[in-house]
Amino acid sequence: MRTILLMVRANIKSKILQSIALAAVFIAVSILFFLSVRLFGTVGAYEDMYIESKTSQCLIYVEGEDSKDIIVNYLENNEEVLNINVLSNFNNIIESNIVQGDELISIPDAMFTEYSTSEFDQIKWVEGKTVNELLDNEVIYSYGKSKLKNISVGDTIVINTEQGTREMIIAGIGIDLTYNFDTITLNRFWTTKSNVESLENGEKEYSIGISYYNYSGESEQVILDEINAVLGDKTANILTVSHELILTANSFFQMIMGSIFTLIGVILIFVGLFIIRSIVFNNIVADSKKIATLKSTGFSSKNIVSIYVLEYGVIAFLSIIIGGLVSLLLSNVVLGDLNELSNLFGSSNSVNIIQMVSVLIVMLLVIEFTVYLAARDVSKINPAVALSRGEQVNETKSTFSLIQHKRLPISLVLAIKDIFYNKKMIITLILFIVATSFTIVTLSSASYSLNTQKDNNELWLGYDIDAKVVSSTPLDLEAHDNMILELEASEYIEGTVTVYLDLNSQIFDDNQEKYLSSISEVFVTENKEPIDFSVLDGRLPDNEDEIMIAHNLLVMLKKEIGDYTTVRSLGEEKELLIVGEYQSMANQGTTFRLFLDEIDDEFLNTSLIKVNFVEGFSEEQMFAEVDNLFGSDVTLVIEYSNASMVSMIDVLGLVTGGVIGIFAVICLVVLLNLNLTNVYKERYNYGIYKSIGMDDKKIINIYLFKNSIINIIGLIIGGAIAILIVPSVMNVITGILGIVEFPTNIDYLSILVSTLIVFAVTFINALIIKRNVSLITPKELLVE
Amino acid sequence: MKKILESKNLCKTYYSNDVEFHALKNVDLTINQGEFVAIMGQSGSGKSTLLYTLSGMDDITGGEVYIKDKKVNNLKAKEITRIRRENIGFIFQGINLVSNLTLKENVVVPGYLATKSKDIINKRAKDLLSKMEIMDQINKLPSQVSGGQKQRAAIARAMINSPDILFADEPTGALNSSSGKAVLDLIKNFNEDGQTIVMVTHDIKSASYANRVVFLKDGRIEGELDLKKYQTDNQEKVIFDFLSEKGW
Repeated sequence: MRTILLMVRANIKSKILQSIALAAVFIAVSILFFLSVRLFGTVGAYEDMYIESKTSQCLIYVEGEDSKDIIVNYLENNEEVLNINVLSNFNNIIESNIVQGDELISIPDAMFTEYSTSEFDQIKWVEGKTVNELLDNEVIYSYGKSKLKNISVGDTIVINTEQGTREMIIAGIGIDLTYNFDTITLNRFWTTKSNVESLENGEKEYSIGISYYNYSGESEQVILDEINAVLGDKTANILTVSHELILTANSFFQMIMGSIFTLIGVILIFVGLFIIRSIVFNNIVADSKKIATLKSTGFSSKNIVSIYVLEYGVIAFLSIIIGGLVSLLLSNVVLGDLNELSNLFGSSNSVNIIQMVSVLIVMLLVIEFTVYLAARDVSKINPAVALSRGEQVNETKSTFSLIQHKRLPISLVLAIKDIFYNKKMIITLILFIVATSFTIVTLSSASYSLNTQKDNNELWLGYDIDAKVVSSTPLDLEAHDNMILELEASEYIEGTVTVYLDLNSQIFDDNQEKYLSSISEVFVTENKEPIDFSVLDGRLPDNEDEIMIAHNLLVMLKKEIGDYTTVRSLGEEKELLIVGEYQSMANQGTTFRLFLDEIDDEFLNTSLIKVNFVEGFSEEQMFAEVDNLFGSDVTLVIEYSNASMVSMIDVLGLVTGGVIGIFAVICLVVLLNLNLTNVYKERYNYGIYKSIGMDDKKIINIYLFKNSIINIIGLIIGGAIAILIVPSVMNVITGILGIVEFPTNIDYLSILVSTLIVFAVTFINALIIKRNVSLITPKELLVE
Repeated sequence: MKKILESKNLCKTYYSNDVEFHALKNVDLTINQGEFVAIMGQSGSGKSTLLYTLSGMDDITGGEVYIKDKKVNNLKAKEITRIRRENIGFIFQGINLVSNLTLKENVVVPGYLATKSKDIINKRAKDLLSKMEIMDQINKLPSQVSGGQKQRAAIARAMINSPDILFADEPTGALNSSSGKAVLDLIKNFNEDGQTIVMVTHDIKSASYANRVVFLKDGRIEGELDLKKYQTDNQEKVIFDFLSEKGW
């Protein structure tokens, strides 16, 4: 054992530069792993917090004291209900904006809810006032949304209601533990009970929170059906946000981020393992002659394997520790915004020692196993063979003749011959460059594509719309129709559509023989063409007996165009002919669309008139045109993609940016290492070339030609695979959101970045070789 | 006879951990055109160092070296490269063929570097390889032929540009006796055709092919033996006696 330890010490000492280079690789890879694990930890903490918090699982928004009492009475007598949390609520808001100087920030679907005094539905305080310190006219807002919209304590929210305009101050920021409001479009403001009541005029509104002993989708559906039954004709007074819907909304973020992190993680783990394997194997193979010498002096294969396992174990252990410490420092720099995001989820960024030790052990085991396999193979070498030739025997026949290619530069011919001769090493380098360019192009293109499409309403909503038109006064059918006529008369408006979202819709699943909760998007328009409704297959409905179903829902129902389906929407049950499928991210692509000739009065006030302006019309011009048409009675609200998606894309941008940055550094370090190993191997040949009168320029040209060929092959293969695969990967990822045909854009800049990385390494190494070759005599180069 | 190679006060010192080792101490040596000089000495005497410094394969730390009256130490890299390419040929003890080139390719590379006419070089390579009797092996890689065949290819490589001086560092050191004899015969043939040869050896039999022996001890020339003066069939004994006298 002592001899082995002495050999380990001598090995590290004799190859100090290689050991440092290898340690740099281990450090870089371990930083990547530590950061990845922390990244996953953040999402995990988010899940724990929202799924396991003491929150109401289902929310029923109800109008009227009587309806509230009926629901509460029913729930109090239901054995499956653990807790009922009744809070005053107000959501009869026409328009709401947050004012920041001259800026107006639109707050769609706003509601004001009395803060909870029970142990359920607590708000996690972040800054400003706590609930107990709130004065009337003061509210607390969601931390996540405040970050997304850049809203801070002290800003004012202005709301238009039937009673007129009210201003309230955002006095505090907190995390709403009921459910993650960042994943849905609703904007809930917490305030005092008296403030909520002061907003009301007429029927009182309540938010009824329900917590179950043991939640199941079926038992919840039974409860909700029975509530509808006991309410009778008062059913129209309620809006239900079921736990199933909340879970879907909550899992929305996790699903998309989870798939992207998994994609990144899988790529990095494979690339990381490949890096380690390649370097370790090449380093050990380069030691063939030494191994043969040891064997000839009586060392067993087992002894030799032990030397390498110990040698690399020491380097790996120290490197991983350093990598772990550096990752802690880097996590606040590289993942600074991401850490902020994890705060947004309410999770802490404290270092998880168990997590870090686990990563250390796993990485160490992986490295040691790789070393063991490589050392075991090389230790079987025949001493006579290795010693006589000084390297592993390569019996490859010459495939590219120097004699036949008289016109090519000699350095190029020698480079090509070297490529054919050192196939294993060259394949390792090419594979690594393929992995590098593939990873960088894939991640960059995924991020770039999502960012490019961030504001593409047509893609995410499934129809093209610029803004919605909101009247400050409730409209009857005649006023509504007149408004549409006026809008359509404008030469700047291409089309209009009235949209009603029925969140309480259901669709019958023949396979499970039960109704599934869904959302129906009900449209009324004279002319569908200017709205560019998404049609993946089939056509748009021509009449009220036809339906379009979102792709994911259609797949879930195992239905096809031409089949009939039964739906419950707008308080009616209908059997409709499926005429088409579309894509939309609403409810993760599990909605259906109905096209009506007109909308009932009952739903008119909660419907929205949406408009599409002519191409190239600026937002200022849009506001001016609506002002010109209606004056101050009508407000234009620009339609933006929903907050959760913007949040996700921003986070994705941060994560991929960070990952690509770290990955680029790792690629540089690894390529340098692989190339250095190659240069050490080539040193002897450079000595021969120099001794026969080859000048330094030609010697360096051999290296440059060889590596340029390798780089180009690797970049072309990696880039081509990425370009071919990215669209499919993106379709799978966005398919979770409901967008099964995503217009992927390749980030060509990333191809340039990959090219720069690999060629930078080539030129750095060329400089190293130049130094090695120019300053050293042939004799010194020929000495091993 | 025309002087072709000369060293004046040639010194070579190695430094390791602040310890100096003087491998060559003020070596004065003159070699004339057409001579076959054997440099002999015990292990560590500095004979290989002398060969490497005379041939420009290694730097010197003092003195001067002249090839064809041209001072070659302290030359610019470009000029020393040209001298290695055009004026000298070198046969290594370790053979040192490029492992991924065939024997023929190894031979033609220095020729391609020196001349624009690859056809002329190909023809000369063919003649040399034919003279070396390895024509049937020329398309094989070094790892696929014997040590003797490799060394013959290395000799052909050294001769491809018709150098002024052929240096040989223990050319038979890695070969068996029959291969060694064949290699020495080939080198001798070149010398008989007028080729200047400087060879390092510790083998008396090899040295007997030369016409002058230079004996090196502790980095200094201890004596020289002009074998041309001894017209005997037993040159080896003459050399042995000379070496014994010098403390071999």
